[in-house]
Amino acid sequence: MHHDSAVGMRTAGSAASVVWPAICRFARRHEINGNVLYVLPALGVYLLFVAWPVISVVRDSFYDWDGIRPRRTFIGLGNYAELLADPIFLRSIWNNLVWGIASIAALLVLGFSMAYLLNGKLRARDAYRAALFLPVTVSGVVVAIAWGFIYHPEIGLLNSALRTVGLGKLAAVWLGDPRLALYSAIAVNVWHYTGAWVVIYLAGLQTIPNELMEAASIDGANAWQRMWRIAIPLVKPTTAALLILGAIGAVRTFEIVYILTQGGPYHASEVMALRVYNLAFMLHRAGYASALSVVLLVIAAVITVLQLRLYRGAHQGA
Amino acid sequence: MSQRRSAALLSLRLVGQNVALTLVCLLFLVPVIHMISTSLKGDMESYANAGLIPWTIDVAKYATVWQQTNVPLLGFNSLVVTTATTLLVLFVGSLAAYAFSRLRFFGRGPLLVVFLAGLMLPGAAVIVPLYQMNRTLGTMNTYPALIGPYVAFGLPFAILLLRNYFDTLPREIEESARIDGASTFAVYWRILLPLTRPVLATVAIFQALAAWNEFLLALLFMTKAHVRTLPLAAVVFTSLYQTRYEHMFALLVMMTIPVVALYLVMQRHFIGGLTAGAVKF
Repeated sequence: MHHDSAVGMRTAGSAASVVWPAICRFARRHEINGNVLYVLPALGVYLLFVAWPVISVVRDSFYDWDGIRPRRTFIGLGNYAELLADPIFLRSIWNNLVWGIASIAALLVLGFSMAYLLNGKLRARDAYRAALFLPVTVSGVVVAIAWGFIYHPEIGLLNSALRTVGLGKLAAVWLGDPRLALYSAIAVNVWHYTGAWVVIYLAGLQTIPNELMEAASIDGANAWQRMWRIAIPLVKPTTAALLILGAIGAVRTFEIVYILTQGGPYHASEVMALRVYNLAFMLHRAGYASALSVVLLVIAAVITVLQLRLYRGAHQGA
Repeated sequence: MSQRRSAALLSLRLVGQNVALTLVCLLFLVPVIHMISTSLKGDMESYANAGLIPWTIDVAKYATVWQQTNVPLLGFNSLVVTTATTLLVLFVGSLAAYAFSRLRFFGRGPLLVVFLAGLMLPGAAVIVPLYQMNRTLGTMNTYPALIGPYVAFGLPFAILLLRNYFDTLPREIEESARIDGASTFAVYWRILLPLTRPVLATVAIFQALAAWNEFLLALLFMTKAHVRTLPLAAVVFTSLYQTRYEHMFALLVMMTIPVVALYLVMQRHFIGGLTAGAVKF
């Protein structure tokens, strides 16, 4: 008895002396240690407010649900099937596409040309840059309310100015005309962000060595050729980054449209983010809105993959 | 001769460049000037005078709007949310970035991927579950309803930017401290963090601007007047001042002044923050 328990204790002791170092070895090999504590606070917040909502929204997209009552009915892919045949949803995708392409095109041209003009030895460069960048700091809400008044058909600045200079024929109902509303909102977006693109392009242009431009100049390249043959090819990484920035900006667009047009008239300017909001909180179709949210997430995921690939490419190149 | 001509051509180009830039900049500033000018015009003057120059200057309405819309409370709400978001992103984000750059632990690679996956998350895609979550937790109309998601949305960018910066710092800096017995946390807090100040400032500006201007989540989660942030209040009071544009614009100007003031003081960091997003990372 006495003897047995001593043996037991000895085996327990030797078991612990075998198992414990094994655990330690295992932990060390797989790097299970206290260092993970440094990531935990960030991970906790991120899991709660990003990861869990993303999982929830995917789950909710399989239900018919008003978002108010706890009752909900599983309908499988029903919401997705409805999306494919929903003209308003398809219109919102189209609007987002137009938004992205038109904004990016305008911002690329404006951003690059302004940056190119600013890239010389200009005494007032900082003042120009500050002026162009100022709108970027103003909130989208303020920008949209201010422009909503500029676009006012009777007393707005735009139509009044057009009438004053004798172009009264061009005066229009900028936000109330279904053919114009989307483009009027895009113009506001372009105004809001041009400064950011200028500044980013300027940073890209400043990495081009001066000698390169001078050498080309001595070889007889004129300003136009120097721009097309040297500057534009050399800022390609910046352009690529800006394309991605523009794409994600288009997907995220919300308040400018919400305030300027509420997506109208007749959904003519409704973008996807606004459609999600309207479906979930105005029409109380939370399940259906979740399916649209998943589409939004998939698009964002594609953009993220492009972004990270570009980023990795840039780093390997460097 | 040809030298003189090329010099003349160069100065001509410089003049052209300056004229073009001045014109574009003025055109870009028109909406801003219009906003300030409208806010200064007399009550209802905008119906007769659509121009940029006010006929009468009425500053008194600023005081009226200040009181009616309770700007101090709105500003306080915005300030609390913005400050808390920025500080949390900086602290929690830099801790994680430090671990991803310097420490070895289980799941390091996959966890980084999980964070980076959220880099481009559109907020609208998660408003349905976030709304439900606030209802369940009873956090509707509280600051955490905004601070939580703002921090979570900001972390991927902060972690990426800070980790990249930590990666560029030579390890020799901390090795001598290690030999002297500094703990892992001390290396982070006393050696790496002070060296990271410029990047921290960049992240801070970027986050502060995003939080100060955010609208969608505030619209959904802050339904009571006493918790509203400035952008949300602007929209609410737009309907109050429907036809009184001068009052409306006075509020817009008051909302914008702090950000523009901060921008003028810290231009370098503002621009750095936006450039970092596209170029450096």
